[in-house]
Amino acid sequence: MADQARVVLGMLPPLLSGIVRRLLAATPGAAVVGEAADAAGLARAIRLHRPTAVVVQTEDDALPPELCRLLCEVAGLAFIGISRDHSRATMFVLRRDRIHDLGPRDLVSAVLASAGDGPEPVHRAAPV
Amino acid sequence: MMHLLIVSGVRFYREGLSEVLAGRAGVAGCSAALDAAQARALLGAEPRPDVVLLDVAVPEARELVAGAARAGARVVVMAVGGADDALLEWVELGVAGYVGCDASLEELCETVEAAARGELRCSPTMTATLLRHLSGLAGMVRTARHAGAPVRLTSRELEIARLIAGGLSNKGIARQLGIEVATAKNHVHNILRKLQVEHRGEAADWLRLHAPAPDAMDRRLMTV
Repeated sequence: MADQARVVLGMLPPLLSGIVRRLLAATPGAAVVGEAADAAGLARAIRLHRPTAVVVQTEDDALPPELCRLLCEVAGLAFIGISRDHSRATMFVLRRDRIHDLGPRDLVSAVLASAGDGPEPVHRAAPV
Repeated sequence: MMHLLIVSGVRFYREGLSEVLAGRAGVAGCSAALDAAQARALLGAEPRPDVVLLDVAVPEARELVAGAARAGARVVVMAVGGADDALLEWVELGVAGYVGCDASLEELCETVEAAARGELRCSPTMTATLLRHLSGLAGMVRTARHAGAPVRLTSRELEIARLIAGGLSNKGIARQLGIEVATAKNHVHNILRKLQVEHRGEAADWLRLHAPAPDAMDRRLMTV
């Protein structure tokens, strides 16, 4: 069975939060482990519950600076930002892939992969 | 058992609320429409919806309230996308329930279920707003009874009363209508005398209670 998706909800309007909770409660492999009403509470909840994803409401599809800091701090954490009109969402993920025994072509491959049109680095290890 | 129609341009709400509400006891079925045209089609189809849960952001939402009433459905409006301060306007249109942007999912479900039973579930804030409005209306009815003969304003006076209600000063009214300030002042004086009130705010209250809604042109004038 796949690992459990552990979700923290942050600063969502009550109705949106209620629907997300119900949907995830009915989804095997996912669980809401915490909720916070402000950025400070969200930081505490993330450190306490170590979620795999945080669902927040965002302005203009951008992640606020304080949440960007959390994204950098916690490896593997995904932020899912729901727009204010609730019609779309943006997923923010900071991915760290390590290349062992780096060769020149590996570096070139990594550069090309960053643009999405090159081969994957040859010695990619699991994300860290 | 009720049949529910959810009308919202936001897919997350259409599908999310359908999923949640369809699982509630007392809900026989749930359909969804993304705009007024789809909603009208579903209002005329079988099974007829008993309750319509209508997002206030849907274009033609106000017209849909009347359409739903003709189809025998009760309407609960939800202001989910942000603040909507038009509670009284929705109530005057005849809605059976109102869910503000801060309502919880449970409150929304209870409001829909209450509407199906012909009851109105009110938050304390909503109740306070409605009671204040009712109290104001009662005061105006008393004043009107004591005043005796019905008030008749000329079309020009009605136009000026709307500008007063829009917050314009005598100078602003004069500029708006291209007349002298003294003429505007005379009109305002006559309006206050006819309405037997002393203040411009009371004239605005009278207008809201008695006069027909301004058309689009008047609305434009009032916001200048």
